[in-house]
Amino acid sequence: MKKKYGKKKSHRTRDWLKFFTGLIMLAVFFGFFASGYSPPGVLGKVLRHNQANDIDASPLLYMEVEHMSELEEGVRLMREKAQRRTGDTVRSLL
Amino acid sequence: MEKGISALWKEEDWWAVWLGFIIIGGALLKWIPSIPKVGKWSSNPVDAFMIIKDGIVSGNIFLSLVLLMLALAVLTAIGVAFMRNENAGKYIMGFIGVFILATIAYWIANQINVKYWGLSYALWALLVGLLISNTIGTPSWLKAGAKTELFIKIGLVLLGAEILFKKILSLGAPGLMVAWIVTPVVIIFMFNFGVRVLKMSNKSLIIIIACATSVCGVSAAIAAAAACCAKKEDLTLAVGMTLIFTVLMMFFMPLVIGAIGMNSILGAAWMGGTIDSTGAVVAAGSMLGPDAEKVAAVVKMIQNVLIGLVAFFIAIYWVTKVERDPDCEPNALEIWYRFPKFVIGFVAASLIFSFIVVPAMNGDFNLVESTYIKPITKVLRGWFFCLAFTAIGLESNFKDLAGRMEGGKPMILYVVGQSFNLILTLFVAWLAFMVLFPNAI
Repeated sequence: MKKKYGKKKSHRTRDWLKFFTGLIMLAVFFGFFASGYSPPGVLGKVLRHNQANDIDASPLLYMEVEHMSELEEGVRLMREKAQRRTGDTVRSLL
Repeated sequence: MEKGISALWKEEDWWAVWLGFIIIGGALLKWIPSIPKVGKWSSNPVDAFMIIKDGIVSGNIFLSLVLLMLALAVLTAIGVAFMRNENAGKYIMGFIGVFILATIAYWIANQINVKYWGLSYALWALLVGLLISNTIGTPSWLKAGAKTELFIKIGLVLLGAEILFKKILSLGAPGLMVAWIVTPVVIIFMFNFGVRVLKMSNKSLIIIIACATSVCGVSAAIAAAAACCAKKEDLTLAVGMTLIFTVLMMFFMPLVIGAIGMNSILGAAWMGGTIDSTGAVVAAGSMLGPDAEKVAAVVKMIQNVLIGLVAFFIAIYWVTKVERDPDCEPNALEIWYRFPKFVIGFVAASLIFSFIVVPAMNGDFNLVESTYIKPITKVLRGWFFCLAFTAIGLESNFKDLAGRMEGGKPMILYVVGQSFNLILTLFVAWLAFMVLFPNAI
């Protein structure tokens, strides 16, 4: 704490200048992503798909995905359908 | 290191367990109301703090956010005061500052277009903290509230509640093969590659990058870092790399799969096993169609469940091999003293929810999730992780980060490890979904 306050005024001014420069850079960085821009052509395909279907790509873990239970239920139904299909094939072979 | 009974109230690990279980107990007993979270917003930044139902504003979360901040400040201050005999008042002042910065990070991350890019709160929390620490310097009053390790460990104990073991059977044998066979092989490969081939001196950084690459990105990196008591800068580096590569893989993998005409279920399993974060997996899977989206998300979910086991084994390996005294064989008691106890809390929370809470609610996962996890433990875990990343940013500086780059070796490790992961996952997914169990889905 003492060291901080012991800094020369010119150093403190320089630090604050750096802070505001960094803040502007962070704001520009955020503004770029928040603007809704998507790269042209195939590069932006996934992003445009996310925008069109309102897909949140930021969750870190499965519990953070809003419609995870629907996705799990979907897989359960797919597996049931596959099992029925396999059973039918086996029965037809017999 | 405390070795007696006093460790129970002197060690940070034990406090993480106590505080984590106070929250879990409060949730199970329904003493804790729904926890406020910063919401999504599009063009009006204030919407993030409004309660909006069917397009109508029915209130705001400002008061509940203040109450949450005070409740968490007091709860964690008890631990801090006991552990380090620190001034609780000073800690609470610092905590309030860190909480406000974490709220700003959440607010930035929850802008709808930012979410489409897959940039999570972890990145923004780090950047907000780094901006302060690398320019004006983190003031000492704010540093007093930046208890990174405590926040991470409490967050991990709470994360245990989300790791439900029975979920591993959601996709049957092929899902297990992709998620559970490849993952440990990639971790072992990357660890050996980092140590023996790249000759990296920082083993903690190697294991964090290996876990982030092979398990599930940021969350796995946090768990691994805490299990091996890594430096904050190591976690920052690994998280930075995984966030960048996650976005790149989310952009390019569906395009490659579509261009070569790969079977969509095989492609989904491939992406589920390799793209680091779950949100990016869902987005990339959705590009291949609704069925692929489901398969990709569930493969990733099965992999998520591995976090607890991985953290447990890393903790054991670190205590018995990496950090052991070369002159003496560690006995069971020594291993116990040095073992990171919060891992026990993490695994215990997972076991309690998987084998007691879920069966007690007639095996209804959805009910458990909607009653206890989604409104309480998950939101609080998110807050603790966001606080932790803000605190890491506040305590890191670019010079230290640059010093850990070892001539770009961590980046080489990530690229080589991820390439190996891509090849092995594709092979195992093909074997599981196309050859051994072609009728599983």
